[in-house]
Amino acid sequence: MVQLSLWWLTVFLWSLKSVLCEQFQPPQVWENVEFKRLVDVEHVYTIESLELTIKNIDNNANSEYFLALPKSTFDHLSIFSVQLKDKQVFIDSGFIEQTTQLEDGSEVAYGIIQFPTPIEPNEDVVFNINMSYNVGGVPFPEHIALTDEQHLLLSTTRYPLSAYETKRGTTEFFGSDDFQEFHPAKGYELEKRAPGLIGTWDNIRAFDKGPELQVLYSHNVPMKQVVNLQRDVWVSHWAGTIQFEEYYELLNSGARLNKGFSRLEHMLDQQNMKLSHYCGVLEMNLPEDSSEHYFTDKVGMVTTFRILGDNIYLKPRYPIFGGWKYNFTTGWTNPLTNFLRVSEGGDHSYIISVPLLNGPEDTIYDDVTLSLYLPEGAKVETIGSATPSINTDVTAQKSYLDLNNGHVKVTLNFKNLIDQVGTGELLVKYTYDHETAYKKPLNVAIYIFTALMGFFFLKSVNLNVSN
Amino acid sequence: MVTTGKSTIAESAKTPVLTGKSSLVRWVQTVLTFTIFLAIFGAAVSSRLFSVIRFESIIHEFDPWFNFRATKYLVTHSFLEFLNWFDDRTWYPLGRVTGGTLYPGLMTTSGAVWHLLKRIGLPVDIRNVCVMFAPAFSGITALATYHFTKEIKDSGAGLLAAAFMAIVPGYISRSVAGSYDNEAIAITLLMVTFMFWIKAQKTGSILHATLTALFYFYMVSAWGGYVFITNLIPLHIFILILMGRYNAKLYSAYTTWYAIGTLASMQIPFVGFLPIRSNDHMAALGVFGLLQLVAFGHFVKTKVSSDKFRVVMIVSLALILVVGVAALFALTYFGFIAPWTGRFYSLWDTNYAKIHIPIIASVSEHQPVAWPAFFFDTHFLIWLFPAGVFLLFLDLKDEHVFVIVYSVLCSYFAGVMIRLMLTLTPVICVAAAVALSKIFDVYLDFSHTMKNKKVNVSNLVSRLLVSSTFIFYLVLFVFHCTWVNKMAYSSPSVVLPSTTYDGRTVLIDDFREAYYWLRLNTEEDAKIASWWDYGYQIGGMADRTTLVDNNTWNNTHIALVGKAMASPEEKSYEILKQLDADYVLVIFGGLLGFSGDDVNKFLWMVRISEGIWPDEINERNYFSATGEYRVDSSASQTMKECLMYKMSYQGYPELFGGQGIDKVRGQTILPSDVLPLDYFEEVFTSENWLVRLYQLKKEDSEGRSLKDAGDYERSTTKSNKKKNFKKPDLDLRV
Repeated sequence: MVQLSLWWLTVFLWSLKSVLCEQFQPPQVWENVEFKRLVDVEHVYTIESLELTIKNIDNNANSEYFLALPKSTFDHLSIFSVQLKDKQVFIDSGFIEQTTQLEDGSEVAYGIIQFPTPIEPNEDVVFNINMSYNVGGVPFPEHIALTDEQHLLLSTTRYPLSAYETKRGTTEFFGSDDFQEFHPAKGYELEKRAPGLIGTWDNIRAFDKGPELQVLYSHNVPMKQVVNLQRDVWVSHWAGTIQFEEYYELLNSGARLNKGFSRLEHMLDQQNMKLSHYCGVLEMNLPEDSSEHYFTDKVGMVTTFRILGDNIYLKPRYPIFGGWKYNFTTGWTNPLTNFLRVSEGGDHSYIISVPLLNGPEDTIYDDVTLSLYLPEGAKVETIGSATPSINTDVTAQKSYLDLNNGHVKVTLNFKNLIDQVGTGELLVKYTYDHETAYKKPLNVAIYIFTALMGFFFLKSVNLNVSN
Repeated sequence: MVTTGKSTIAESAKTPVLTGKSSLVRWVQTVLTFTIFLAIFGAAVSSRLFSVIRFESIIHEFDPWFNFRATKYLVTHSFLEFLNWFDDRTWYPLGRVTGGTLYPGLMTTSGAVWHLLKRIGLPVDIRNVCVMFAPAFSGITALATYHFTKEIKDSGAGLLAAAFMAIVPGYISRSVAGSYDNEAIAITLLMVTFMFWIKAQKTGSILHATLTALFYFYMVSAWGGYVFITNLIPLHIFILILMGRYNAKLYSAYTTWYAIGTLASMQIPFVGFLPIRSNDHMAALGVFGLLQLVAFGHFVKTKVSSDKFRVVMIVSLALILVVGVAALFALTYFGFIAPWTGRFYSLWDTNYAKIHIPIIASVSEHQPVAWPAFFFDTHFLIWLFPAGVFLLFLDLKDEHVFVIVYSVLCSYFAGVMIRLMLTLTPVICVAAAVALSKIFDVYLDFSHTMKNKKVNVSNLVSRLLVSSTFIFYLVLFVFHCTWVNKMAYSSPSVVLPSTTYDGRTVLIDDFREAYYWLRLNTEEDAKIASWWDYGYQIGGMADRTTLVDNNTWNNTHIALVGKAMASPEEKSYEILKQLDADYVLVIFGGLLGFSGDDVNKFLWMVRISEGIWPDEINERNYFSATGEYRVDSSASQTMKECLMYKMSYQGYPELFGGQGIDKVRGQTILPSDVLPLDYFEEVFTSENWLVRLYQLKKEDSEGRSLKDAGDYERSTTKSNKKKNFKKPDLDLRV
C-alpha cells in the first residue's frame, strides 16, 4: 500500500515537474524592435554581446524581460551582465529555473532582466547584454597534421534566439581572419563583411532559430581548457606572507594530430617561428611583488620557467598538442600587506581580498576549488565573492606544527570560469587576536620541552642488572 | 678532538690524567662532546645535500624508484596488504609477488618515520622523507662507528672514525639525498650490529647479544647483504677458537645471537627458510654446532688430563670435519640445501658471470673495481688502512681479530664487485682512525717537550712536523670529500646537467618529459616494452605497466624483450603483440652524446637473448664485416634491420639535412641506412631525442601486412609529395 502510494506520488511529482519545466511561456508583452547578436570567437570561450531595442506591446507597464538562452549555453555560462545603453549602469538580472522544450526537441532556458522602472506601453528601451560561456567551436577536421592550420566549427542558431517576436535580427561573427559558412542554406546565407560574417533578417517569430548555422573559422592557437584547478592560498600573520599554490589539470581541446607526434617535424616547424595550435608556453600574470616562484609536477621540478616582471612564463615538459593533457603545480609568495587590511570595525579584525584566478589568458576552467587557509584559531565572519560560487565551506586543515585544530580553511567551488573573471576577488573578513597568535609558538615550545624532559628521564633510568 | 669523548665521564675514574676534575671541566667536556657529535651529524647530512641543492628533492637512479613506489604503496595501504602485495603492473603478463620478494626494512622504516612526523604535527610529503632518509641515517652510522671504534681502541679514535665515516665518499656514493636504496639503511644497521657484537663478545652480555640479534634481524629485513654479517660473525668466532681463545663469554654471545637472530630473520617473507636451507647460511650453523662441541670439550678438559684430551680432541675434530663436510655435500646434492647463487659464484670467479649469466655481468655495479676508485672513494684513508690493520695485529685482542677478518674479507670482495666497496668503507674508516689516533696519541702529546722547564727543540719540531702533516692530510681529505661528493656522487641521473653556448647551466630533463607524457597521454593500462633498466622508472614516474624491470627475476622474460629489440620488425611485432605490449620505449643518446643509451647496451640484449635462442640470435651478425660494432653505412644488415636500430635512428639523419652525426659513437648515419618502420609508429620523442616512444600499429584495416601497407603508402606519397593539403576540402561534403 505504502509502495503504491509512493509510486503515485512519484508519478504526480514527475508530471508536475514536466509541467513546470517544459511549459513555461514568457508572457508575450514585448517585441524586439532590433536584436543584434555579436559573437566573438577569438577565444576558446565564446563572448556574445546582444544589443536589444525592445518595445512594450502590452497594455500595462512591464518591468520583466525574459532572455531566451539555448540550454547548452546556459549550462556553461560564466559571465552574464546587463547594461542600459545610454546610462551605462548595470541592471538587475538573474535566471529562472523553468525551461521550455521547443518543437525540435531542444531546450531553452531563461535569463530574467528586471528594469529599474517599469516600461510604459509602446515605450522603447535599449540595453546591452554581455555574456561569455565555456562552449565554442569544435575542431574541424578533428585530426590535422602538425604543420596544418587549426579550424573550428561553431554550430549555433542562425537567428538571434528570443522568446518574443523580432522585427529585425542580426547575427554577426568576428574574431578570426578567415570565416566561412559551412553548408550555407540557400536564401539565408550570411555574408562576408569585415571583420567577419554577418546576416540580417526581418520579422522573426518567437523561438525561431532559422536554418541550422555552422560557421567554420581559422583558430590557430591552442585551446586551453583547465579541467580542474585547485588554488590554495595560505595566509601567515607571523611571516607576513601570503602563499599561492595552484594545481592545474590542463587539456588542449584543439584538433588532434593525425599521426604520432614527430619531433623531427616539430623541430622543423618551430623554425618558422609562427603561432601554432600547440601550447608551448603558458603565460601567467601574478600579483605585484611576487617572489619564491616554483613550477613542479608529479615527477618533480620543472626547470623551464622564467619570471619577467609580474609575469611568469611556464614551459611545460612537452608541447601540448590537441587532446594532450598536462598537470602541474605552480606557486609563489607575496607580502601579506598587499592583500590584507585591518578592518575598521573591531579589534583584531581583518579583511583579506584575493584574486580568483591568476592563470594563463584565453583559458576556460571547468571546475575551480579555491581554498583560503587562515591561521590556526582565526574566526571567519563573512565571505564574499565577485563570482557566485557553487558552495562555500569552512573547515580545518592540519599543516606543519598544527597541534590543535589546524588552519581554518575556507573553500569555494566554482564552475565554468574564464580567465576574464580572474580579476574578481574573494573577500573574507575574520578575526584573529594576539592570544591565538601567541598560542601556537607556545604550544610548540611546550611539546619540545616535554619531549626533551621525557628523553632526560628515560636516560636516567638504570637498566644495569648487576646493581 | 682527541682527548674528548662521550664517555669520558665514565672513564675519568680509570684514566689517571683525567681524575680529580672539577664539575666545570666535566660540564665543558659534555658540551664539547655534544657539539662534536652535532657537528659530525651536520657534516654527514649537509655533505649529502649537494644533490638537493644542485638539482632538487628527487629520487635518484633506478632502484630507488621502486623503493619509493613500494613506500608509497605501504603508506596508502595497510602493512598486511603490503606484505601480500601482488604487483600486476610489472613483469606483465606474469606480475610480481612484490610483497614476498622485497626487503621491507627500508620501506617500513620510512613509513614509520612518515607516520611519526605526521603525528607530531609535521605532515611531510613521503617523497621528502624518502629523499632525506639516507642522509639522516648516515648521521646515525657515524654515531655507531664511534661506539664501534671506541670498543676497538678508544674514544679519540672513535671520534676520528665517526668523522671519517660522516664524509667519506665511498659511503656517500650510496647515501646522498635521494639515493633511497636498501644500502641507505643497511650500512647503518651493519655498523650498529657490529658495534653490539663487539660489546657482546667482550662482555658476554646476553643483553648486548640480544641487541645484536635484533639489529641483525633489522638488517635482514633491509638488505640482501645481511649474509655478510651471517658469515663474518661465525668466522670471527671460528678464528678465535682456532687461536685457542675460546671462553664462556664467546659462547653466550654467539649462541644468543645465533638462536634469536636466525629465528627472527626467518620471519621476513623473502628470507623464509633460507637460513636453514641455503649454503650461504651454513657457516653460521656449523660454527654454532662447533661451539657446542668446543664448550663440551672445555668441560671435558677440566675433567681429564691434558695428554688424553689432546688425542680426544684431534680425533673428534677430524671426525667432525669429515662428517660436516660430507653432510653439507650430501644435503646440497639431494636438494635440501640450496646451492650457491650466481652472484655468489661471481664473487670468487670474476669471469663466471660473463660466461654463464650475462644479465649479472651486464650490471655496471657488478663489475670489478678499477684501482683508482679506491683512492677516489677513500682518499688518504686507503693507505692508513693497512697501517691501522697492522697496528691492530700488534695488539690482537679478540675484537681486533674481528676488524682484521672484516678488512681482509671485504678488501677482496670490494676488488671483485664495485658495489661492495660500500661494505669495505666502514672498516677502512675504523682502521685508518685507529692508525691516525695512534699517531696523534704520540705526536700531539707535548707533555714531554717541556720537561725540566726546558724546551726540547728537536723533539718539538719532529712532533710539530708529523702532526701538522697529518692535520694537513685531514684538511685535504675534507676538500677531496666535498669535491667528490659535489661533482661525482650528487647527480640524480634522471636529470642531466648541461651547459648552453652562453654558459648557463640547463638541466636536460628528457627522461621525465617522456615519462610524464606517458603518464598523462596514454591509456591507464598501457603496457610499455623497454629494456629492463628503465622498468622501475617507468613504474615510478610514468605509472604504467612494464614488461621487465630492474628486479631481473625472470631471465627468459628479459631475453624475450631483448629478442624483440634485436629482431627485424615483423618478428618483433609478433613477439610484442604476444606480450600484449602497446608502446616501445628506447633511449637514444646520439644527439646529446649520452653514452648510456640503448644502442650501447644493445649487445647485452643480444647476448642475453642469444643465451636462450642461440639459433635465432647470433651476436656475430650484429658486427660489421670487419668485426666492429658500427651503426653507420658499414653496419651489418642484421644490425640495420633490427628494431633497436630502426627505432633509435628513425628520422635522425633528416634532422641534420641528411647527415646524422651520432655523437656517442662518432659515426655518420645517412637516410639510406635507416630503413622505414612499418609496424610501429612514432608517438613521442623528447626534446633532445633521448627518449623515443613508438606505438604498435593496429592491424591493417584492409587485411594487408603492415609492411605491404607501408610500401603502398610510400609509393603513393612519393608522387603526391608536392600536393598541398593545407585546407580541409569543404566542397566535397555538400
